[in-house]
Amino acid sequence: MTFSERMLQIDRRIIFLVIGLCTLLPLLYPVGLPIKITSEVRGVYDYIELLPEHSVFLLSIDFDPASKPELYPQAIAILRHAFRKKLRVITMTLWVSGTGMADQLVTQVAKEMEKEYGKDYVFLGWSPGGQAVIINMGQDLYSAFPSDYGGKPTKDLPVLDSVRNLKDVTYMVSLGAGKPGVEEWYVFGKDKYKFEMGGGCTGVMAPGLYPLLRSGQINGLIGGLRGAAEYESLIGQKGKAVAGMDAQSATHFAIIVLVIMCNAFYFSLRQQRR
Amino acid sequence: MILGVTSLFHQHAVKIKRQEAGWGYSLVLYGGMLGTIAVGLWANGKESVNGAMTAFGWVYNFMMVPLQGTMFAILAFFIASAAYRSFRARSREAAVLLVAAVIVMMGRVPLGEYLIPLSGDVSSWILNVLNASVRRAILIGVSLGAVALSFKIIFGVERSYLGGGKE
Amino acid sequence: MPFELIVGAWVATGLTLLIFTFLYRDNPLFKLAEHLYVGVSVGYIIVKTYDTVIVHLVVKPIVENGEVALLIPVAIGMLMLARYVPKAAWMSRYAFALIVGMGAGLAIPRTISSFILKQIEDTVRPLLSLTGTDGITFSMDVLNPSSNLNAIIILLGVSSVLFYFFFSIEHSGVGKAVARTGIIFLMISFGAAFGYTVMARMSLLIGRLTDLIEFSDASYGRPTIWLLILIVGALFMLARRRTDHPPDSQ
Repeated sequence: MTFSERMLQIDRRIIFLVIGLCTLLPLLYPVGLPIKITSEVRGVYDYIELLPEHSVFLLSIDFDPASKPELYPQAIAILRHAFRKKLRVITMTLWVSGTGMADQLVTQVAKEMEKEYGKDYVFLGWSPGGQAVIINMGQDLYSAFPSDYGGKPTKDLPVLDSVRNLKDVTYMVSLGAGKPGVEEWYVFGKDKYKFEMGGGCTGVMAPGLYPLLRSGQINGLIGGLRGAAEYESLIGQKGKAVAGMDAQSATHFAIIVLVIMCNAFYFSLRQQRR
Repeated sequence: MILGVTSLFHQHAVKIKRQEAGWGYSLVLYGGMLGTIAVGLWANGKESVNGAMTAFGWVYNFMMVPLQGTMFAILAFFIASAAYRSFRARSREAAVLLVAAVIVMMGRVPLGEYLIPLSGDVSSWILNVLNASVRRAILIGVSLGAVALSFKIIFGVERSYLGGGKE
Repeated sequence: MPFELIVGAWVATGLTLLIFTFLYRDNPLFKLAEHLYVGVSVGYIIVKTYDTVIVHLVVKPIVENGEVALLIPVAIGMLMLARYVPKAAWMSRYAFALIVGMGAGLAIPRTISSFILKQIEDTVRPLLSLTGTDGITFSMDVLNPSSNLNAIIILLGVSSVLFYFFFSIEHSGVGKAVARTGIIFLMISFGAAFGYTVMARMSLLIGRLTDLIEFSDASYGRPTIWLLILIVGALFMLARRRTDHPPDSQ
């Protein structure tokens, strides 16, 4: 067996070890390389930045723990921004297994920004049906969510004052890890009820949402941990996403090196066989 | 959903009853499920009450979140190993794919943009122009198919969703 | 630090490490965590569905507010359960027909508007821009996605890929060239998708390791370190018991 053959059949656990170390070491010893802001993320940031106080902002937290590392930091950064701009923040989720996480997230950021439940923000919780919930909210928010997460009737909450349905929402962001998510919110929400909307999503989904971004159907897109890191940099409050960027760099380069190595061995083997 | 849950119940109950190989794991599954349901009903289905974590919230935060998160995190290792094993420029098309992937992987991380500043702009262009056009074509194609299927359902041409096939 | 948080940190760390043992090889520790994961997730979804659907959307509005009309959708939903009774299974078809029919009806106008018309509209943008009263410009800026040059590239990409998809006959002459262009566009897009998938998977790993690093702190009693030693020890013992298949050297 030649060297190239042996290298191509290397035990996969060696690759696992390389990836593990490339993730762990930069997390322990960060370098802090600068992060460039892309126009996709700036689209969401600029729109929230220009909203007048007390505008109605709806954040739909459409993911579960499987996508937590990517979307949780996005949600924290956007909520901090919205609270700082003194918007009226309505939060909810279309993913049942993400309910507990969404509740914890909203409560944590609101506490940090000293916001009052019911007056400055509300967490509506989860309601079944996916796109049907969006359609229902478009007609009557109170029939989709008669009570909030804690069981309080939504009709009496000051934060929802003069909000009847989705037409009264000024800006909406869906942070989606799949279906239902950004696409459903556009198709069954924005397209019919005409509010402005932006999106956030996992890295896997991001390339698929670019057609909607290009046509202006969504006015911004925060993609994966990288997008979250950009948003954290924009609001000037660096968190877990920025901290993870060095590890992200290291692992990407590890994969690039692995791909180059594998091709080098492959071509040398092909030449030998000729 | 009900269908999936009942078949799961049944499959593992049979395993425990017959004490098949690995029935202990089925017992763990049942234990985890019944335990979660018990604390969930005790807490009225709420993970927190007025900001204080309930036992149900504890199970969610310290068991379900790390378990589900790690299940998906180990895919990172497998994608790396798959990239090493099968990401080879066997043809011209595969080479194009490979180059595009490498540019995007470089251009989307700070180190890549730092070493080769152009990589960020090039990967932005790939995503916003080349990728957007392909995804748009796919979106239009799939949507035409979905609309056609919807019409078929409405006119009763497509009835397989009713199950069976016997009238 | 509250006691339940410390216990939580130990449990979360332990379960995370148990799943990671799969990287070494499939083993009983991983299987244990895997089955626990399925059990806890199913239990969680059952509780949430019961609490939200049955308690908050059905029972409470009917009992407290007298919204009796809600019984109609409930009855239709119950029809679905008839599927489990062989003799009454036909009744479930009415419920399925209603739901699938409604979905189809909703999908037609929304899909045409959102994904077909809007996407085509943006593809056939003017290829030249008018400036001022009588000036026509053609912007060549590659980096600006909405420049005229990129509008042409997008038009080319969309039409060649659609051509490749819809005309699956054997391509020759001009058709072959267009289909080839479509394939090149597709490959670049797949490459970008692969790059982003790598990015996403690595982010998930970063997230889990960030938690493990947090839990190696002294305020939690350093569960990461102690449990790592314990689990490595357990794996070693398990490997020794497998006398028929001796473990690899790594």
